[in-house]
Amino acid sequence: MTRSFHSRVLLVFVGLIVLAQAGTTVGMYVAARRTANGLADQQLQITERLLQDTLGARDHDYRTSLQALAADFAFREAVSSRDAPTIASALANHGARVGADLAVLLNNAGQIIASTDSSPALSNSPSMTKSLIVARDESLAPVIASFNGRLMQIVVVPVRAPDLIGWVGMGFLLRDFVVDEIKATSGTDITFVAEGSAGPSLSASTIPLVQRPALAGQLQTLLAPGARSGAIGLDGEDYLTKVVPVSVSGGQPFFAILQLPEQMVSAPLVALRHDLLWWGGPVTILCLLAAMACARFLALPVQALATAARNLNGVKPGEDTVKTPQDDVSSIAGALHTLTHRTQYDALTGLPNRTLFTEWLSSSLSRAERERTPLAVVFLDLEGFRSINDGMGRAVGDLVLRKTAQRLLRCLRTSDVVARLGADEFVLILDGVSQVGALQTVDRLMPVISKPMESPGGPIRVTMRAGIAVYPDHAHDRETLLNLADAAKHESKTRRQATVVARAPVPDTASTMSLSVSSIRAVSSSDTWSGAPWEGDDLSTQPVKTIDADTP
Amino acid sequence: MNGLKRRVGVKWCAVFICAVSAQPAAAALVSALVVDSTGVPVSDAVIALLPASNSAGTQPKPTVALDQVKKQFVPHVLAIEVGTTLFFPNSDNIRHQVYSFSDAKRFELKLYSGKTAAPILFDKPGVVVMGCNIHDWMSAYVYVVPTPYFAMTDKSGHAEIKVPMGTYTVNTWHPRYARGREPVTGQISVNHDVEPLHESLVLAAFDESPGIPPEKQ
Repeated sequence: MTRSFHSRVLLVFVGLIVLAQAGTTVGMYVAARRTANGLADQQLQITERLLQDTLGARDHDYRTSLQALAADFAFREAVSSRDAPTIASALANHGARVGADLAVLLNNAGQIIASTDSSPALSNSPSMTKSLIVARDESLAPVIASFNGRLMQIVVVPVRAPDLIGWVGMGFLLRDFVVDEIKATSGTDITFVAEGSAGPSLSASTIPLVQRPALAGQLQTLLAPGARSGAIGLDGEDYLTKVVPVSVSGGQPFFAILQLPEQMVSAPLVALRHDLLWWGGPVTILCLLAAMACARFLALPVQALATAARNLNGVKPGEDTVKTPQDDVSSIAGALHTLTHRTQYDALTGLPNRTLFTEWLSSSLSRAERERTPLAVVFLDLEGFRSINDGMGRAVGDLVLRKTAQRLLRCLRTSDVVARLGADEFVLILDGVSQVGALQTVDRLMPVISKPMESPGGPIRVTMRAGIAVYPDHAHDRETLLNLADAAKHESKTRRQATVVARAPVPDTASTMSLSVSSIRAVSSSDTWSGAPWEGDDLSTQPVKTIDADTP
Repeated sequence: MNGLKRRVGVKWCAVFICAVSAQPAAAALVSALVVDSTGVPVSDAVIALLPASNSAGTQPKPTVALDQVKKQFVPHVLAIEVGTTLFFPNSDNIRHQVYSFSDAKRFELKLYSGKTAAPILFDKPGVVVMGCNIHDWMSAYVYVVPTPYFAMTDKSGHAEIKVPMGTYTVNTWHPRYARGREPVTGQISVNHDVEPLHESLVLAAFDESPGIPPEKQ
């Protein structure tokens, strides 16, 4: 399948646009997603800090209230009475003043000597007593204790009269309003987890009551080490979840689950996706339109060039495209190829023409020179070709020429070159062939060429004449070699001999002369050609001059 | 801050006692040195020698004053014999409300100024911790001992007690030491036949510091 230049350009443009658009869209989406996740993380972190701050502030407030209570004279008097019911009653009374859910009195040794909670659960709760001791000794961090499955913030302050006479501790349940207040600020859901003997359980939470069982069901997974964050689903709604340790006081870890509805994170992304589609679609279409215009604009001159090229190949304008569906650039290349071929090959016989022959001869000569091998140039022409052409018509003449070219090609090695220089004039380059070899080749050619040829006007018989010049025997340069071969061919006509070998150019030295003579003798000693005996003596001086005179 | 420093400052206490000179009239001067675990002398420690035979004098006891000056009790630590009467003059130009929740003596003197407060008889042995109800940092310690032979160490940690010959239980007490508990005791015999006596008593760890006035009050 071929494509026009226009459609190729268009294809590249569209590909680039789609690639760029897709890359941008994906990049923006990924960046937005990262930003959204970062914001969500940040919000969870802020909530965590807010939670710690809230507990710290509550601790501070309770401590201040308790210190005032513990300094109350009547309270101290009650404490120093050592009458447990009286102390318990005073604890209840004073605890109510600050809204405590539990109030206890510890002696200096840290034992509970009176409490508002008369149940044995309190004194039997090691975690509670431990938390009280921690709250007594570490006044810097808020202390959270688990009591009866509920979380309590514990504050313990000394009672002095004026020396230390005991410690009063109060517990304040972490109720839903504590987390509700934080959620009002941070927008994050918070759930406290109490670690009791029966495993973790939910304490205060901002999660709606109906969803709490679902959350409670996932507590074990959430609290598993190394799984302290992720997304969980509650009743079809997804939450980004982070589990943070809030306090480890009293030997009991106390966690808070922070949750952010997944929707809060994904909503901006959905909006972004809509925006990208909404804007990206039209922009892409606009770009595509622009690309089409560009492709057309770019393709116009190429198309014109292609049309011109097709016309060059002889196709009439307007009728080409349907017959030979060829793309623009290929047709230009084809036209250039045809043009090149025409300048280098003979249209009639398909043989190389003079131009190409001259180039090839040059390169063959330089190779022969490099490799120190001989090279023979043989000029051929057909005897009486003009009379055939004139007498039997040009068509027959052409037929003879084509036939001759075919016969020549058939007889020669593939490494040999045969070219047509014009009219009935052919020339051979025989690579690596010396004078003897050239003569043998010519001898082989002669009978083949002179075989009768079928033609509309009856069989025709043509004979051939040849002139041979050999590198390096006769000349070293191309021009001389050609001239010598040509001259030898002409000489064959005057001497009525089928083949004549050139002689050496002007001998300036005796050695060249003797070489020339010996070569002629070598030829004459050969019996392979038909023709008059070689009259070498008068030629050895005269004809060379004639040849030289022809040389341009 | 101040309280913390003091709390860690003194941990152990040793009492060195020697009967310095046996006097002809069957009396001896017992000299005591109280140092902490690092060898630093401890002042305001009470040394009381309780005779083995209960020969508590029945002579009338003097009335002792425990003053309040610049919102502090003066002295901060006081040792008295059982049966002594304390009165609490107020040398400040503001009122004070003195109280004690100690078992040895519970009392409360409602807000008063000057010398209008009634004297109080300390008729039981033990430690009485007193405070002022409107100045939380004010505190005083009265160690009530059932013997006329007692003294308090001076700044060099020394105390001297003149006692008749006989066998005594040595009680050593300090406000920073084991409040609410019995004083540390030891036995010594004082007679002129023996070499001057050197006795060393190691007292248990101090616990919390006494009420320290808030800074800049």
